[in-house]
Amino acid sequence: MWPSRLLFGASRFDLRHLVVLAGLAILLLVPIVGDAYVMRVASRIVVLAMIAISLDILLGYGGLISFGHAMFLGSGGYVVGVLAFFGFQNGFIAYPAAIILSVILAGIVGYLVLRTVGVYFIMITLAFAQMLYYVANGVQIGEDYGGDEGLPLSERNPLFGLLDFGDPAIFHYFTVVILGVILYGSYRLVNSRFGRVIQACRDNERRVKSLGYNTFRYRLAVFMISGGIAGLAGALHMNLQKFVSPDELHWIISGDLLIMVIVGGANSLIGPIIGTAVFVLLEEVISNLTEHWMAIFGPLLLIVVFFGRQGIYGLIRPKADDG
Amino acid sequence: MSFLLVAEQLLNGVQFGIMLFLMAAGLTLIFGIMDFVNLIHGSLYMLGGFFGAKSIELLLALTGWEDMWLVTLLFVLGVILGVCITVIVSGIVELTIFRRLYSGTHLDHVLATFGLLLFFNEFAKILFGSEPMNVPKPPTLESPVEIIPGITYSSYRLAITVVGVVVAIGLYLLITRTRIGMLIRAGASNREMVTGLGININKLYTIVFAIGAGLAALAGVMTTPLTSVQVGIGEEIMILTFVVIVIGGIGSIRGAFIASILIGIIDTMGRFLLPSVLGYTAGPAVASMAIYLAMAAVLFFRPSGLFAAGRG
Amino acid sequence: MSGPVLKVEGLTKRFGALIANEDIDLEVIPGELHAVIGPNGAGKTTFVSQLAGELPPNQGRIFFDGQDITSLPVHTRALRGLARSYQITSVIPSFTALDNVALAAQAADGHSYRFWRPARSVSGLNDKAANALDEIGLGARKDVLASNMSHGEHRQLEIAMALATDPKLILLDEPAAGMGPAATEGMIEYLRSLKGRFSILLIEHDMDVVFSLADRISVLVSGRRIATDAPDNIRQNAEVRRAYLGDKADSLVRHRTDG
Repeated sequence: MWPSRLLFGASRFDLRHLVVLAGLAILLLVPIVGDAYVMRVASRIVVLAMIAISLDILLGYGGLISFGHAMFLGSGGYVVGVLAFFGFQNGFIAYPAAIILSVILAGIVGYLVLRTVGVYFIMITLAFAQMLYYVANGVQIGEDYGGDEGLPLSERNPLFGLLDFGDPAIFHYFTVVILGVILYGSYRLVNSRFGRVIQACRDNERRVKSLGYNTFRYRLAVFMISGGIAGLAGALHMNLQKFVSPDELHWIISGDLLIMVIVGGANSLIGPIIGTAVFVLLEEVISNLTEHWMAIFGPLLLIVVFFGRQGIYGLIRPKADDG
Repeated sequence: MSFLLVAEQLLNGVQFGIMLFLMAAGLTLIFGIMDFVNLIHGSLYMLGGFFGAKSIELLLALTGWEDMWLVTLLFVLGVILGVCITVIVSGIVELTIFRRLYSGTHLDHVLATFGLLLFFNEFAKILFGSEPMNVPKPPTLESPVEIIPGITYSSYRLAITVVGVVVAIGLYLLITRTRIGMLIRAGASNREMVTGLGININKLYTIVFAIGAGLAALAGVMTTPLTSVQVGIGEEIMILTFVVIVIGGIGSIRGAFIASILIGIIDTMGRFLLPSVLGYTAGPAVASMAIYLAMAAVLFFRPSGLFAAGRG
Repeated sequence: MSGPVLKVEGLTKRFGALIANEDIDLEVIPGELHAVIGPNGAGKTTFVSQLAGELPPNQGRIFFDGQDITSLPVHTRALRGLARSYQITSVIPSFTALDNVALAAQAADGHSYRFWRPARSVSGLNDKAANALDEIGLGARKDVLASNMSHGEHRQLEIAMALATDPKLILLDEPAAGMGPAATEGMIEYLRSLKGRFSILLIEHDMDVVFSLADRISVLVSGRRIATDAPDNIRQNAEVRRAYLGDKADSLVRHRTDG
């Protein structure tokens, strides 16, 4: 009853529950049944799902189409990388630092981009992400690190030796737990009084203003929250790959993140997770079949636009639940 | 660092700015009139480059001409062919896909055009390969010319700058002197009004989109002898074009022109001057950032751009 | 002791060469229902947009509750107690009626940077919203999505939202716009029930609404206020009849003799 209400706001068992439970089971079983490659793909899905959720908070709940969310994948990763280079390996330093710096970055970028709406907003988020892409290219530490080569991580940030992240299975479970925490926190967030204001801004910002809300500040706050979550995901992504490079900030990645959210189903919290899983699996499968997988994937997106705008999660959501 | 070098780079900046203007003029109208988020404008630049380069290559191979004036003629012909083929491709896309999207949300536009962009990249890769493709400059424009006594400059760059300026003037005349232009202007500042006038809005959209595609392709094919063309080349210039439009103001041709020249010069001069000041890793990175900082400054003081065309 | 709740001095708004509002003075006394009428294009919407803060005036000052609010943004004015309803329905379509009004109540409540507790479990807001809906006659529809409501219900919801912000003054921009005769009658009765409890500035096109409700009426013609007086005196006012009422003067006289 309780977890079901948490995830779906409804207590009746339906297809969505099945999908979610199956997904959870797979994520938990992967380290036991899968090989290193499978586990790597699964961990990647988990970490990218976090950033997809953070993007959906902006997009699906806030109505803000950010085309620059990859900047936080980069900011989180680079904070971890730079700290590690200077000897700060401890996860209790690296992760909070990644979050805080991403929140600050989101505050600065948000302060500028949120002065605009519509097409402007889309273009400007994209442009700022591109600027950070160049910043990442300019990050040079020591003789051998940085630039377009990126930064390595010799070992995953330890949490005082509490968990042995040298074991990919343990790191995988760690990311699953973090995803759970983010999912629950996001659920509380979007249903809170703050979340109510954010969603109202999506529908009708002018009205929300005339009720007495400083909508700019609410949007800035949600932009920063989203950036913080995404920054944490970026730090974990860096830990997963043990490597970060400017490629993480490439604008195509921002587009990919948007696709994950929309294909999965925006304006739901489970949707982005499903979308991420589908995207990553498709990428793995089709790119093994043909090197020209984008020639297949591109038209697939058109089909989504014309026939499946509510996303996968929207398709399996019972109609009666819309109210 | 001599004055000559600086002058040359300045001219390069203007030339780059004119190319950016060819991109931005069409795109700012598409944003302004159709309120349509178009991510394939860079793809059209790339396709223009490929189609143009391939046309020139084929024409040269077919005719076997070697006379420098005949080769120049083939070059011009190839440019025209490249532009025409791109306009046809974009027309097909507009009629079959975009037309169904105008009534959709911005999110629909983003998703669909992003999908098309990915598709065009692969399409170009399959058709033309993933190696950069190059065309030689026309032989008549190989050697530098003396523009004022003592200062020489690449005649090819000068030529494409002139072409760009001529096109800009033509566009200006089209927009200020013709009925179509009147509708385009009206549409950029007040879309509802044009619809209200009982104009066939679909036709207007198709025309605007075709003009935009033609200009983007022209920029793409004319730049090819300087930078060569390869998959993905359109994306970077598309993002620069976005910056230009943000600075100039959506829907404003005048804003696009001024912002293009500004960005062209800042970008070129930044790349030229900053590395010697900041070193060879930080320098180019900071130079790349310079235009975005300029954009941030404009946003801070004038969120709807320098020359907003009526709408926010 | 209390001065006017709203005082407008010399308000002027130009759009290029067009003067939409010219040197408008106006006062709303606490508790009164003050109507602003005028033909189409008289500048009513421009006027109300400046009062709400959506449009900056070229000249003039606006005092609300004794304080100069001319340069304050929309949301600050709203927080100080200046509520408004829109001529074109402006609600949150994906919210239920109750959530719409609770959103408004939440604004006045001032605790919106709360990130954890579910908004729907805040009983104070829910009760207040439910009461407001009951009062306007939407009590039974509180769990219906606004997007599924009728035009008339939207008009009602608009006003319930405005009231839930604990306003000192409500700007009602043609509250009966687009309503049928029966629904308009209902709206008039409802507005009558608000009289005395709130100060109201009513922007209206519909003569029946204005003359049966208003304590005082201001007449805008071509961007200028040409008269402010009690309804009966407005009917008699020669300048008003000449400048604005014109051919409608007859119907007004008839209206008076009927009443």
